[in-house]
Amino acid sequence: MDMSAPLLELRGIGKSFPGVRALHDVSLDLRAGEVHALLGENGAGKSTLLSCMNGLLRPDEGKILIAGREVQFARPAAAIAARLAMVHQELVLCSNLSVAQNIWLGREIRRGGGRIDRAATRDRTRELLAMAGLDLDPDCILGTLGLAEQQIVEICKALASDPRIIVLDEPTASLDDDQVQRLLGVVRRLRDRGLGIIYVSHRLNEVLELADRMTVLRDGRHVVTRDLNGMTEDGIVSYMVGTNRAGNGFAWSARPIGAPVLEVERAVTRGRLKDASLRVHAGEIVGVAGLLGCHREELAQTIFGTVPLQSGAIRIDGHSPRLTSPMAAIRAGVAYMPADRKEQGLVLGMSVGENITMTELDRLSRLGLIRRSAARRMSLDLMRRLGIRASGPGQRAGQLSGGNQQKIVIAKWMTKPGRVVIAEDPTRGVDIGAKSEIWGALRSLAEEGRGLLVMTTELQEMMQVCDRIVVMSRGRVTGEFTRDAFDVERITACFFS
Amino acid sequence: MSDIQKTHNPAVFVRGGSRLARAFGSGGGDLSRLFVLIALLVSGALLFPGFASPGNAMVILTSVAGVGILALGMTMVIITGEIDLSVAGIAVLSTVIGGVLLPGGSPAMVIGAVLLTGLVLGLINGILVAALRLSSLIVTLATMGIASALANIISRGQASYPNAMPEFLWFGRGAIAGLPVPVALFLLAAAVALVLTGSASFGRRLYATGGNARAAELSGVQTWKVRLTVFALSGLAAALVGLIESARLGYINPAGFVGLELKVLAVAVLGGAALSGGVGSVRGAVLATLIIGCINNLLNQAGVSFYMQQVVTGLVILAVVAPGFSKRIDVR
Repeated sequence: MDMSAPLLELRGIGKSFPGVRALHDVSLDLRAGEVHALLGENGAGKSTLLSCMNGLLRPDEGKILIAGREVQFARPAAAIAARLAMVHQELVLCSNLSVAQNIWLGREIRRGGGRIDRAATRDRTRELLAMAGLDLDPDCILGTLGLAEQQIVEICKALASDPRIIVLDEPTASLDDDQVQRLLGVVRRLRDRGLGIIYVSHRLNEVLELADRMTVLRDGRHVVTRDLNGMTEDGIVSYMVGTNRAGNGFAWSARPIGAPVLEVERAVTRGRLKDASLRVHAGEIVGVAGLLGCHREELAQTIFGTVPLQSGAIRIDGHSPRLTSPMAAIRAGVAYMPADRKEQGLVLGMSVGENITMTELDRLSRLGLIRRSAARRMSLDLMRRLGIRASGPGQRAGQLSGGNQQKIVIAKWMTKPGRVVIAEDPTRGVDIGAKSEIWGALRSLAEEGRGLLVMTTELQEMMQVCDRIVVMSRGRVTGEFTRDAFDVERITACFFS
Repeated sequence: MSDIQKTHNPAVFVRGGSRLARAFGSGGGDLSRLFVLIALLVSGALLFPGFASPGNAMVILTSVAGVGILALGMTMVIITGEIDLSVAGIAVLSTVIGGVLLPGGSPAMVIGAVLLTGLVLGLINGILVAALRLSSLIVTLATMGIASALANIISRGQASYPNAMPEFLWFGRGAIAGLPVPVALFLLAAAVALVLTGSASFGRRLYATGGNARAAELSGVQTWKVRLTVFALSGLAAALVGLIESARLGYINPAGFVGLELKVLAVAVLGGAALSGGVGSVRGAVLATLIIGCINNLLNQAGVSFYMQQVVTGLVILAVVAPGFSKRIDVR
């Protein structure tokens, strides 16, 4: 093996789909012991490039070299055999199996007679977990673990094939700040062992913290490969978006604040919500911050009528509706944008327009029949307002990129007259341009006099856009900060109180 | 970057079944069903001189009208991600109840009782599935058995004969505007189903319920109402078909309609309905009904045995449907 050659080298990769040029002359090299960030907006071609690297797609042009030798992967298994392992953005683990069973799924360690060698499996699993700095029982059922641990198990699964190259596709997309730090620690540890790591993330601060070099793609083309020394977030963004399109979605400006539209008083639910009180006024954007176990999503579910309130009160616009179902909550004037777009936000098999108008079917129908032109007009209008990039309202939602899907989840509620909007992680896994467009849309809802309750994982982002931040910890509200008192340390201190 | 470029997700193009299946969409696509139907019609016209006559067309349509009406209901049930195995049982029990009322009952009473029984049985299925969220496979398997057993208990295993009630017989033998009543009812049901699934807001809720029930609920769709409605419609359709077929035969048979649910299921699946929910169409179900009708008619004319016909039907389902539903699609 040629030791001076880079671990992985892509030369002039091109890939087209019917009618679309997804990649054009993309080159990249990965050295041993480096973290190489692969950056670009949604749709820039990152996913296609990753698929070319690990054999899911065959590039039309260009070469892939591993340690100086040209390779062609017919399928992901071939890439794994060449010691390139990929960890996908979405967990592909079986929650009903144990940690060890998941890690060795499909290549179980055997002894004579084809029987699984449980003792060896357990030992090797412990080694892998130790490598990742995770102290876990290998027999523990995966579904009982938190998201961060599951993500690390996913990395251990990749490590089990003894790779020299690991590709991490947005491993932190659904983790909170604390968990991100743990994961970054794992990645550093692997780098120090001499692995080459390709790291895809939309979180630029964590890229700056972690990566040694970066390659930026835009519109399927290679923009730059460079050192990250002295680089800033703004600098990266300008590579990603090209011109100064970074947008003003994050800009905060004072809005007139009206009467309270949402009042939660000492809310308690069976199990999770212990004591939550907060108020949102008309025109206000209030953030709810907290770590993963803070149960702010339980608060959202309670307000939206999917989790019953055990004691306490919820008032909407001064009334106390019986919030027994989403339908009741919608009637009372609550809109809810869930975090998980695939599971809760969208019907992926239906069209963009059908998804957007799903909340407005009654208003768009006469005698039970949908007024097609009105529905189309509404869809087109919202697609324009949010900058949803699709061939038209008829395109299947499942075909859009993550950022555009997320915008549909927001668009669905833009025209509802309700006064309260709950947005759970509205910018999760979304690039900077889309984030700006989404915040712009949400701010316009506040300007129309609605009260917004947003639950973003990134505290920095929340501090940029919110008027007020309420902190929750283990089902209780433990702090409240107005904009002039925003301070990372004081806010995070409340996470643990 | 052009707009198109931005929106295309490469995963969609990965490993997509056969080129043919992709061109026609999932489940084989209505275009491929139309081709199959045209091919059958052309070859029938070439092979058998009597095939392409208005008379034979009516024979074909009448023979599949019942299965077709049920396939419409079944398609809607399947779109919500559920299944209804009880249609034959409901057809038997509702007609038997009509049969019990035959001596001395007025036509409105008998026919009303049949349809009402079907509706009520469908609602029972619907309540168990929609409100209690029981598995529809289990619920309708149970109601299927209960309904056909009750039919035998109530009738003491005896057939009854509606021959003295022309209004009853009209459902199988009458005519509306020159069309046999079963055919007219099939066309009417298809038109209603087309509007319901296509233009009505109910259709959106239907597909959303089957496509992603959680997302639908969080958008304010009351999925339980959708489920209840489709089972009620399926039950009502079963009673109507029971009426049609009993009238055509001239007797109400408590041991009749054996295996009907599987025939209906086969037509619905041939029509493109995916048992995983969210996918299916009325157009596909109608085309599939006509395809099955033509195949049976052609094989009858060719003197092929009943069992051989079933072999052919099975092969057609595999050929038309299987490529589009291959689980290899969209592997990421």
